[in-house]
Amino acid sequence: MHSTERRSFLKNSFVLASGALLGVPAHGQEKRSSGKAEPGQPKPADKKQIIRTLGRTGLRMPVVSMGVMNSGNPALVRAALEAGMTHFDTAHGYQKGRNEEMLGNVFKDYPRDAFTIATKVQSESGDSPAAVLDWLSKVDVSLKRLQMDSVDILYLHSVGSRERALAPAMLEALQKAKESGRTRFVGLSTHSNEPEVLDAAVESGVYDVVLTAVNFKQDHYPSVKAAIARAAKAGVGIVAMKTMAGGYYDRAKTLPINCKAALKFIVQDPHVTTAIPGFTTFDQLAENNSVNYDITLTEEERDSLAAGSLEGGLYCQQCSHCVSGCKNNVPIPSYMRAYMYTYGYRNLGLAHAVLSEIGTKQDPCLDCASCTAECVKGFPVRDRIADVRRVSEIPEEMLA
Amino acid sequence: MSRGYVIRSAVMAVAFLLLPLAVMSGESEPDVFPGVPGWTLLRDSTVYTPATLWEYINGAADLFLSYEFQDLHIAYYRTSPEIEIRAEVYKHASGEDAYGMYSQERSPQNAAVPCGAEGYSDLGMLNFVAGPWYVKISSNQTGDQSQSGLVSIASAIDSLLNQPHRLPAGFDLLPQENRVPRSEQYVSRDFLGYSFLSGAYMADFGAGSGCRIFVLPKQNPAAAQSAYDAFLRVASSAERNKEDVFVRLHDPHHGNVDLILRGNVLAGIIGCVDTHALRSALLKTLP
Repeated sequence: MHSTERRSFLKNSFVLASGALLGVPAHGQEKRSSGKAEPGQPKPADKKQIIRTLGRTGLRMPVVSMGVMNSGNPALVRAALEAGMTHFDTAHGYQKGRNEEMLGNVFKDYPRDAFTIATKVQSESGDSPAAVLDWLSKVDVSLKRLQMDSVDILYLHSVGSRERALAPAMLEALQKAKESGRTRFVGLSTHSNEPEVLDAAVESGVYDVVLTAVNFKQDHYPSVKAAIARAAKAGVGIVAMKTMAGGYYDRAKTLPINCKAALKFIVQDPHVTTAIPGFTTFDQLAENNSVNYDITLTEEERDSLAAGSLEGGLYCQQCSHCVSGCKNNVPIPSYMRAYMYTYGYRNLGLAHAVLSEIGTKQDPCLDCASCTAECVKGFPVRDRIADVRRVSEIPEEMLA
Repeated sequence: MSRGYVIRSAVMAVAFLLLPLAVMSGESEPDVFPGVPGWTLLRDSTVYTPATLWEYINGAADLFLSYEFQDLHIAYYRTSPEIEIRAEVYKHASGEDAYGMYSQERSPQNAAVPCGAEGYSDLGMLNFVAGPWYVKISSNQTGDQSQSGLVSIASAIDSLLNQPHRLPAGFDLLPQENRVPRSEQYVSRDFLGYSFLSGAYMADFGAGSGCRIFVLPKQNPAAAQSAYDAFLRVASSAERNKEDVFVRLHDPHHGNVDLILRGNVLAGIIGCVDTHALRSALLKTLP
């Protein structure tokens, strides 16, 4: 999708999200009483937890769950359970298995129906009979670490293509895992080519659930959203990950994303059953759990996402404030525009044209020990100039 | 213009964008893979960065990033008949960060190996940490030749990296007496689930007792005081006996914590019923 189309789509999405879609219970969604409040946890007495059904699995869970990948803290998992979260996501490879071991030690103290658990196992042996056995043996290791006979969802980890999603050996392995009782339901996880993989999951007729990367910053968000809708309509349960898009707009991590807003934006899609943010503090747990009781984007949250998403933190407003602070009078706004064309629009031709207008291939910052130019948006001016200046080295004919 | 030329140009342009800035500016990558007699070295040309690590290890990348992961270089060592060993060298911003990530993945069941600051091995794998590098060596084959190959290659990489064979200095603030070997952990941020507790050195004391001591050396006494005050604020209760240098607080998620502030160091004991001996030991190592 062209970037202007994407901007238009995002704008419309935010308008829709703030209006018609909000407050209308999605199919398979209900609100349940919040129960006893825990100290420090947001279980508002006057609000009900938003629960959705995970496609044809029939599993029911709050719209926000816990991705456990970043936390080895059992107290945080217990606190999430006590706060009303019921679904937990881990993987065979996280912390070399210690993540699953930690969860096993926590969950052994809870009734099995008090939570649902998903783990992910990657196949590294290609598409062969040996791959089936290898993958199932890894599943058995995961179950042993988790101290369980069965998980609720077992994902084939990191599927990036239709071909991989439909690999006969892996489909066989997944079906064997289900038939043998190692898992109640099977799925796949995907970080790339999500629409293609989502469609393949439907086509297979095997996958009950897809765990997909989806966030407001994705260039191809509209096509991911459309594929999610197709899969959901076919009965495939949708779990969202990477909803916070890395937490920052910029590579230097100077412009933080409003993570709560980003989370709300994704779970407002009624086809998404739950999201699995990977929080590491009790404060983050409280903030994420508050979304389980209210997915409404405030005006401020809506504005923060709209502003940030438009150019992904790459947009230079060309105010020229920086120029007065630069002792070499470098045309910084032009460099920032070239940077945006390079990384935002992926259009090297445009970037090259802007750099040609500047007219020099030499490093304009060469004789400065430190940068005195100040950007009102906090862009790391010198780093971006050094980075994008490389584009001017590309022969123009190669950009035709 | 031929179609082939256009495609080639496009590929080159995309490849150009993907080149790390360091390579473009002529900086040479440090060599972390030595030659090992009897083994053929094959370097993987892909270098993973914070932006691309997830392509290699999926969601596990997030934890590496929280320990200031810088880059990952990979190589393969092969020998006949048909044995291949993979060496992954993860570079972090500091020795503390590398040790922190290493200690997140270390299993207490594995056997210690004298490699780097600390290392351990199991069938088909050997991991160790040396300065800012976390090194993982593995093989799908688990025979004697493969196992001895793991050790040879690990030793060679350790020699090349040439880092002191000692834990990060922060662990010197923890008592030695009754410290459980290889239980040390460095937690870079969100220690105990609190954002105000960062840079924690921790170890178990008394095998199986559940007792742990942690120390957080801060930049200055004011920063330590700030963390101390924040901890007191989340406690449901706090009490201190007369002339006691420790305060006992009750944390809603972790139970009793005996907390002490000494200069720029915040320290504590958790998971213990009787903390008398550990208090005495800790007082000897704190500033």
